[in-house]
Formats: sequence, C-alpha cells, structure tokens
Amino acid sequence: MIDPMADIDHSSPAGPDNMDGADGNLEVFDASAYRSNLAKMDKIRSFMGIASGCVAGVCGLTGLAGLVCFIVLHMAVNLSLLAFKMNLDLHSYSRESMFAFLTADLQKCAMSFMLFWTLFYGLVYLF
Amino acid sequence: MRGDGPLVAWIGMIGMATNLSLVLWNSTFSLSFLVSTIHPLPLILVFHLSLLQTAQGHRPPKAMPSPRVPHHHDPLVRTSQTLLLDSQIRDWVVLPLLVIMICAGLLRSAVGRLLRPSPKPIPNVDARAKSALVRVSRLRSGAGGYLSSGRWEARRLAWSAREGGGSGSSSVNNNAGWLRLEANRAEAEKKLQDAMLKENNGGGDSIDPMTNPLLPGMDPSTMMDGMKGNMAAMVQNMVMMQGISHFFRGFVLVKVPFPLTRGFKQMFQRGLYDLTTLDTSYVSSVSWYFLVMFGLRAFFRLAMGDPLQEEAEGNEMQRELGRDYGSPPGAQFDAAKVLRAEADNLELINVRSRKFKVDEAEKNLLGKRYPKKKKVKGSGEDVLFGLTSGKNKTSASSKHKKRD
Repeated sequence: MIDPMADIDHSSPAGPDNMDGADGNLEVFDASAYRSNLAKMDKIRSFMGIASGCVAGVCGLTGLAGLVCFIVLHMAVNLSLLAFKMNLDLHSYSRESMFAFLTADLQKCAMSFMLFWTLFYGLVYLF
Repeated sequence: MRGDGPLVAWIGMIGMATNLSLVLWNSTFSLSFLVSTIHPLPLILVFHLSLLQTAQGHRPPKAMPSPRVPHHHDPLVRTSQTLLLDSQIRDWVVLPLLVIMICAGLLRSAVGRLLRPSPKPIPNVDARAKSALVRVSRLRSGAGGYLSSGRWEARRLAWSAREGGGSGSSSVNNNAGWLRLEANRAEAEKKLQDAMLKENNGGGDSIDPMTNPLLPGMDPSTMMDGMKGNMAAMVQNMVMMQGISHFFRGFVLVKVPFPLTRGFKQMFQRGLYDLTTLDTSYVSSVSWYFLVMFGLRAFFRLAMGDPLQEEAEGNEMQRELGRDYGSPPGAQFDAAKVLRAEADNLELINVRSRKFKVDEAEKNLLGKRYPKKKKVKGSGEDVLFGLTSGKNKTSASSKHKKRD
C-alpha cells in the first residue's frame, strides 16, 4: 500500500529526504509516515473544532468567553496529542517547532468552531 | 413568504436524493461512514437541553411568528435582552439550509471527480529515472549513515562513476555508474522517439509539443479541465447565494454569539432595514450561508477524506507528466539531464563530514569508557584507526584485551 515513489516530483529530484544542511547530523526521514501522521492530526483537530463548537454553544458562552474556550480546548487537544501519542518527543514526529505545532490549523478549526457554536447556541437558547 | 417553507424543504430533499444517487452510482462514498462520524454526544445534549426548555415553558406563543422588538421609542437604546425566535424558523430554515449545503458540497466534489481527466500513463524511461532518483536520495539522506563508510563509498561509486575507467572503445562503458548509464539510455530513447515522430509527420519540421500525441507535454486541455472544477464550485456558490437571499428574505435567522459593531449591520441584516435598534448579532440568512460555507469545509474533510491525497497515493504510476503545478509550463521531465545532475551532485558530497553510525557504534556504546588512543610521536602510526606501530605493541594489545 505504501508507494515508495509517492513523494517524487520534478522540481526536486532528490525528494524531500534530502537534508544536506546539517553535516553529520542528517535525519532519517520517512515521507509517507510523516504524511499519514499529518493527516491523522488534521482529522483530530477538525473534529476537535466541531466538538468544541458544540460545547461552547450548549454552555451558552458568548463573546470573549467562547473564544477563550476554543483556544483552551485547542491547546488541550494538542498537548494531549503531544503527551500521549508522541511521548513528549516532538522532534521525532514532526519538523515544526513547538509553537507552530500548538497553533497549527487554528484558522481552519476556528471556522468550523464558529459555525457549530452559532448553531448550537441558537438551537438551545434562541429557539 | 411563510408558505415557501415547505417548498424549500422539498427542493432540498429532492436535491439530496439526486446527490445520493449520484454518489452511489459512483460508489465511492458510503452513507454509513458519514453517519458514524457524527458524534452522538453533542446531539444528545442538545436534545435534552431543548426538552428542558420546553418543559419550563420558555417558548413564545405561536401567534407571534416574528420577534418583537421591546417597546422602546428611543432609537438609541439597543435591545439588550435575548430574543426568543420562533421554532418554525429553526425547522424550516436553519436546519434545511444546513442539509442543503452539505448535499451541495457532496455534489460539488462528485462533479469535480467526474470532470477530472483520467491520468495518462508516463513512459517507461521516466518511471525508471524517477525510481532511480528515489533510491539515490535514500543514500544521501540520514539513512546512509547506517552503512559503514567503505560500503557507502562503494555505493556512491556504483551510482555515479564516470566513464572511461577501463576500455575507451565503446560509447557506453560498462564501468560507468548506474545513473550515467540510465542517462545515456534515456537520451537514446528520446532520439528514437524523435526519429519516429519525424517519420510520422513526414517532414523535417520541428516537433510541436502541443499537437503531438506521443510526446507528453503540457496540454492546454488539461489546464482547462482543472479550471472547470473550480468554475463549477464558483457558479454553484453564486447561484445558491442568490437563491437564498431571494427565498429567505426579511427575517432574523440566528444570533451569532459574539458582539459585532454597527458597521456590520448593513451587511448582515439584509432586508431588516426598519429594525434599527436590533442588535447586530441577530443576522439574516446570507450570513448564515457564509458561516455554513466556511464551517463545512472541515466537516467535509472529516467525512470524505482528502480526495487529492487518496488519488495521489493510488495513481502514482499513472500520473501524467504535465501535472506538476510547481514547475513552469512547458518544462518537461528531461530524464537525461536530471540524472546527470544527480550523478554530479553525488560525486561532490564530502564524505569526511558524514557520520557513519556503524563506524562509531563502539564509541556510542562505550561512551566515556572508550579508551583514547595514545598520541605517539614519530612515524609508523596509522592515522585512521589509531593503532600504534610495533614499538608500543604491548600497550595496544592490552587495550584490546580490556575492551573485550
């Protein structure tokens, strides 16, 4: 199922495995594993966005309190990803820095959070 | 206006039915998967809470279909209490709109999949070149560090050695590295193809990549197909926006839970011009449309997976050449050039700076206990391995004994 040529393209003939920058400390990097990890994290984060929207709507948070709830839940999910799945070792699973990892996909999740927040707030408190 | 409610719901249901039949015909999507991804817990919560509200008698009487503004005659005083809206709005507008937009999104992706052209197979030469490049890149990356230095060097030479090591009589020397051999082969293939095309065209005119079916180049037709999918999405967006602002005009839909400034009033409260004291948070249907449109993107990613990624993993061997969006149009994959460049790069790598884990395995294992080599002046010392000459043989052998 894993296609070894899944990451070749014309522009960089050596593929994404080419990390000649740091001499003597080259990474051993499996692109397909990295991509599947990213896809799973994406799924978890979007699901979290939807669920936190539902929570905020049902609890009746408005304005800044809702936004704070979203950010808190987003950070909580990312931290638990880090703690339970990556065993607190970010660099062996992802190439980003800690800050970039914690705030990744914030805007995408924020849009779905907004939708479900409005929806459930309306369903529970207005109708 | 109120009679339009059932009509819209029927339209929505018909749309959903056509969409479902379309995707089932394509048989790439299963409804059970969609249902299973919707987590039941928030729905249960909402259901119970709304039941609670009805039990406490919070619902407004049905005789008042539209929200009433409290009787303040001062236009500057804003409504600060929460208005309770009629549940018919929810039943016939909010939820059907959500369902309609989910179906529209599914339809859009199905149509996009239908409109996408079938990928053409890439020629053998290029496939071989690409696979060779992948293998070479593995040597270059950190995975090469797991070999010993001698073996790594041997592999490097096998890939990239220049010709002319032994005999110089034939043009293709078998001592050359694999990359260079492949480059020669690719060039020969290309010449053959060009010759065949010249014969087919029946003249000496230059090969035109646009009109030539044999040479895979950047077809303008494929670019058009990519744009067709985007156009479908845009057209659908505009049509729906017009339709929604026509059907659902003139009433408050939902309240967004965050405060908005007065400037947004004109944008979000179309058709409600007379309610100047109404909070900006109460919005009309177009803004609900926008909210749903942006919010459902994540939902679709969850429910349907990422179609681009699945296709990329499935159709790798058949991806047509001109599809690389990063390269400039007109650039073809010139196998010979790329292979030769890679061979040259490989030659240039400085082997001294790489760390070979096998060679350093003993150091890593013993750590601080690794015995340091004695610095002996004079000749007879092997620089690489730190062994000393016959003069200090006893110390060298005792070192060996200690390590074992």
